Amino acid sequence: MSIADESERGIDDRAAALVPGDPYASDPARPATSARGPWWRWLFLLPGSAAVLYGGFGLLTAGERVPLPAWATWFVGSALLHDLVIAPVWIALGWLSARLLPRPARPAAVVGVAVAGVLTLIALPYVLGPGADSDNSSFLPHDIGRDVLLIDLGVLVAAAVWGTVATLRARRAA
Amino acid sequence: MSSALDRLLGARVPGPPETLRRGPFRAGAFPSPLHSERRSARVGLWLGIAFTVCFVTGLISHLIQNPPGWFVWPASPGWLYRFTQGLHVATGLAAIPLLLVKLWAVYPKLFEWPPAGSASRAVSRVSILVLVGAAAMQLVTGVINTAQWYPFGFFFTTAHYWTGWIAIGAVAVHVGAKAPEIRRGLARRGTQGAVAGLTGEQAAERAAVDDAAETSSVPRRAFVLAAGLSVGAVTLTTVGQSVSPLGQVSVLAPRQPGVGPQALPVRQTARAAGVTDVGPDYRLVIEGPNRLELTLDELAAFRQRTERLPIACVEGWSAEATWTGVRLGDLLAEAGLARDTEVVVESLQQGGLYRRSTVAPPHARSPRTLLATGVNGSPLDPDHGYPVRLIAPNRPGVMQTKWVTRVTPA
Repeated sequence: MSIADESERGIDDRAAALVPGDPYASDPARPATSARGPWWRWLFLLPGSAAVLYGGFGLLTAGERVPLPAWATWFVGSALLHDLVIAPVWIALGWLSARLLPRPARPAAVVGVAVAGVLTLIALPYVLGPGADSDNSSFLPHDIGRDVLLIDLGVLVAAAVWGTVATLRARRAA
Repeated sequence: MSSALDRLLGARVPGPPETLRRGPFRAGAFPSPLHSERRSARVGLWLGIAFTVCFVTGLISHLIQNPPGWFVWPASPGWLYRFTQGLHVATGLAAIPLLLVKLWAVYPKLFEWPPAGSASRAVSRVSILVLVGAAAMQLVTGVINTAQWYPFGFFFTTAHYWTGWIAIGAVAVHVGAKAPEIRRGLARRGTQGAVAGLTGEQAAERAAVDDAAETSSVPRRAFVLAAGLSVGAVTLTTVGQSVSPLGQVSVLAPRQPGVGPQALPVRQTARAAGVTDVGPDYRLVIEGPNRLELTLDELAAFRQRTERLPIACVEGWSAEATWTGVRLGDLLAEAGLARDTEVVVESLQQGGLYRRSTVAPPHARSPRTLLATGVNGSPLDPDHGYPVRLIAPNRPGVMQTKWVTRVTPA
């Protein structure tokens, strides 16, 4: 049962009879009873909750250094950047590759696009932001926009070669 | 007590009508067997280690800059802060692909149906928003900050510090909350731990998913390779900003050791600090029982020392240089102060949060702490703090005050 199957199933109470004897079992109808074990979870839950509260208290008392609407915008916005932009783009690429690429080439495509994509993401602030400072020759000594395009190109070419070789081998073996 | 809580948290919450179950919410929308408990737990372990490293190194940097009474940061070894802060930034960058892989693995959970089947599911989902929001925000704003881009509307370091507590706390709460999934996901397949808390039927379903992951069109090996190579590529293209021998390789790093005026990178230029007209009327004042007011020539008459010390910026880059100047301790002694007097060093710079810094006793008495007038064989460039700058071992760059004009006992 994958995570997707779990999410589809909604509430899975098949292990309910194991609670409370098995500390790792859970019964959705008895969440508090299920949560008692294993004992070591409390070593994480209690200090973790305290740290979250401490951080929240710090933000609430930071005054004008951290206006809460601005903080909340970045807090929720960063999560949404993944959920509504990065993940859908990645899934759309996967959908395309499943239709356009032969099966043996898909691992190469995933690896190549993952590496190139992550490098592009990391380079983006340098390209989209204010960029190089004419006063400060030591800041952004490389043309990061050009460099990342060249690296991405190299990575994607390598992935294409790998994917082609894998496809040809699979055909020969078939 | 727990039965009342059970009734409250376990109460079924009615879901939206089935007709709304479309797109990513529909059954079978995420067919890959890599969306599994096992993959999530394993990449989660790496991500948890990365966040712990970032939290500890970030806390160290915070404590050095805002030391409470109990905190003492040593002056030796001189490279330690360079290491901890380089590690902070390199680990944060490496955490970006790890977080993306982790979020991909659990992405179907976002489209759980019904969206919150019980009160406890609703609580769990809100806690996940806190976790993902804090983790993503730390990484997104962290990278943007190293690009010297400040579109946030808040002061970065304060928000990064407090959100860091939320992030590490939310990670710990998540580990506690997902204890059964983590126990099973990290256990070797086929062992007792891998089926802890499951019925035989559930265990067989999970085993089938993990079997399918070995042979699916994108198999487990490709998944692990994509994650590993992404981390490696990010690290290799950026870590040269703190690991000098890789400086030439790291073409996506915002600084390269060896590049800058006098072969040394600069964070804040003299022009940005508004210190461009240092004239012959410049004096270095050391307050004390025997107050000193020194011209540059008088400063040059003190015994000159040379030290090889790194500049280690909070943004992660660092570079070693050969500094020449007068020992801070020698000047304090000449002004009638003990060599380990805690002092405040002030800059000619008029504004800014970092125009002054405190030199704690371990650094004040260190023989390697200089009020430097030269670097790499020539007088300081204005961007490196001409005429005089502080350079001490094992200290963040923002505390290596440039354009120094006054030293006062704290």
